[in-house]
Amino acid sequence: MLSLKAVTKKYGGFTAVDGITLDIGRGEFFGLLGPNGAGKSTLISLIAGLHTPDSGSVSVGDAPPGAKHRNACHRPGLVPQSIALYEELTAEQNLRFFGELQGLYGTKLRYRVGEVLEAVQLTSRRNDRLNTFSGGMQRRLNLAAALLHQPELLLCDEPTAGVDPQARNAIFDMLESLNRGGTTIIYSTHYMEEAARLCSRIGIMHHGRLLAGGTVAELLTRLPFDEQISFPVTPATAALAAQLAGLGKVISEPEQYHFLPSAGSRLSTFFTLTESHGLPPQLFTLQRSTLEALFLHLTGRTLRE
Amino acid sequence: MNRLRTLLTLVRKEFALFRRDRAALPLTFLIPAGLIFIFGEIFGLRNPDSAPGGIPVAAVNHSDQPAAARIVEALAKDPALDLGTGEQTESADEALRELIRQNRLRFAVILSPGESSGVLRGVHLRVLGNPRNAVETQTFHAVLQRAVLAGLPELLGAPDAGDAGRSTFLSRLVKVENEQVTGSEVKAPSAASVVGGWAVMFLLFSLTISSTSIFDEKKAGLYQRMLSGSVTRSQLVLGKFCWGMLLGIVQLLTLFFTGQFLFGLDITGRLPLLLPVCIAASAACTAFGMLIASVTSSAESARSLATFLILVMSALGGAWFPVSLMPEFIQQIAKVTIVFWTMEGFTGVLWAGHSAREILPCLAVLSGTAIAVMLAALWRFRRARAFE
Ligand SMILES: Nc1ncnc2c1ncn2[C@@H]1O[C@H](COP(=O)(O)OP(=O)(O)OP(=O)(O)O)[C@@H](O)[C@H]1O
Ligand SMILES: [Mg+2]
Repeated sequence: MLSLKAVTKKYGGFTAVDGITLDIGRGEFFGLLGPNGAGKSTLISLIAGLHTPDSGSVSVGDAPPGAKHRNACHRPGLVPQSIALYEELTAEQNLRFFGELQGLYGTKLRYRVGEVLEAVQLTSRRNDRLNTFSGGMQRRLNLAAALLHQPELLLCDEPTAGVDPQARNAIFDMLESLNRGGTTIIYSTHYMEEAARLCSRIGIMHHGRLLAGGTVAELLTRLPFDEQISFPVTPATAALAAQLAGLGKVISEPEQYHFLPSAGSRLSTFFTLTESHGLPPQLFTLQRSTLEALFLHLTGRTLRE
Repeated sequence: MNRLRTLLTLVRKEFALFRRDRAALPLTFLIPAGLIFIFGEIFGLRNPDSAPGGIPVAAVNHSDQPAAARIVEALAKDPALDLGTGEQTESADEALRELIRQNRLRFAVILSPGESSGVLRGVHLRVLGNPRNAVETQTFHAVLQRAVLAGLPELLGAPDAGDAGRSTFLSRLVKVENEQVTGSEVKAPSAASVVGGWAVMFLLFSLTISSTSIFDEKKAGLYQRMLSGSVTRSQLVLGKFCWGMLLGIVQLLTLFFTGQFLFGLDITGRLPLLLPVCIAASAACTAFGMLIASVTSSAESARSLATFLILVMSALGGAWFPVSLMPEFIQQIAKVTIVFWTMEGFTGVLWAGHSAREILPCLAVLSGTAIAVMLAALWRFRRARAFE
């Protein structure tokens, strides 16, 4: 779906994206995780074709590197980090405008506008001006405007900034359902939890480089393993709990096991064990700070410092 | 076809934003129309014959030169002045001064037989005055200058103004005199420059403000969204340009028709020639707005730079008072302003009754300026990555 080869982008003398190589397959939900200034937005702009790389190549779909797709659905849908909508216009006027720019007209346009408004639950506000919307509603419309042309690849640059938990969950649900429907999604965020919840694969960015990439489980195997892991009490997990006793301390509660690994053991050992028991990784709740700890481990600094 | 549709979408968006902008409509149409009305009243453009006032002026002629008589005659004819030549004609200087002090007279012109020196051979001109009002003073001096020009052929011994062989300098001056003093064909002779002047100044303002929307759109990330679609950077610029032209043409025509309504300017009859001038002027002014936006880094700095330049250009270029009243060197500087050429076009069509051929140079200058300035702006936009 998307292939980046040694992509570098400089602003003057400053290197914002530094030799990133990355392949993202069709249907993936890829998380770009990194602190402020890591280069996430710049990377997304490169993928969206807004910048040309100083070196390396970007190719989206089966188009040659750097080419723009003529067919609308092959063009990535971009959800910019800022609210890229006209404040003075109504929700519907905004959507119609951006829909027309994507080549939608007439009934097709009207139909799609109605559909995306429904999807972000703003149908009742369609004739209100954007500057009467709350921040979260604006965010939702910001996302909706990128969906009009039913893109195969959706680029979301921090789409939940300033959104309350409830609206955030609504956005998550929507993205997950789009992803299930086959849309490839690239999602940039500062938040470990968001990335862990949504993404099938995560890339950790820092100073323009991709420090590590893989599934949450893969990434965690890189960590020295000293965090607490919880999992539910079921007949299937009972055998695992018994085996884990040799690797550390297992606390059993009526509904949950809590596993505290002894010093020096590695997370990979843990996951090898769970796999041998045929238990999916979703069963295990890693302590919240685990990805946080990984970032600290990789960069020597905390994510939001 | 698709490209045209995209362009249309972009222009329609500008229109929707314009309609939503509370300040845009008054600034584009109402304020300039109001100023045109007020200044028209000040200059007595509405009904020059029955004007109640006029500036109270006395002319005292002690000279028997025909030129002096011509000057007084010209002063008397001018609707801007209320010339008392009756009982005051014989008054002594001191009596005149007293009248000025009492505010019953604003100026007094005393013509006496003078030495034969300078251009005004044979007539000595003295002006007593109380310059209490800048507009009155300005107007009075302009009228006086024209009156002197009216007497000029006699002074130089060239009574027939149509004769060949005179210097071009003089022919230019005399031409001005003919139009101003007789001015019989054109109703409201100075209405063309009052209306045209305010119109071009506000044209520059509204088009610059419309160009500065580039900064807001960029900051909001709107260009990122548009460019990630099928829109190109050139379409974005072209969309803005087309909208600017459209807004400019509508604005100019609205103000000129206001002038027709208020002062009886003949707009309908001159439309075939006026329209090309309006189109060229709108193009040049839109390009100016774009250039301003391309050399500044925020809407605020663009607006302050534009305000400064627009005021200077309007003052120098003749939007406020005719360039011909300014010193020679300023007249030369004026020629590098868009305002000057726009005013040349407007007054040429509406006042001097120029033909299509005669306004061609001014059209060429305006279109050439539009193209050159636009190219400079495009180059700057590209360098500053304005649309990324
Ligand atoms: N137009 C620009 N000109 C110069 N430098 C820029 C420009 N845009 C970004 N940068 C720099 O490039 C680096 C990466 O910026 P980018 O916006 O990609 O970071 P980010 O990961 O999206 O950060 P954030 O989480 O704050 O959005 C930053 O150091 C920033 O200062
Ligand atoms: Mg960013």
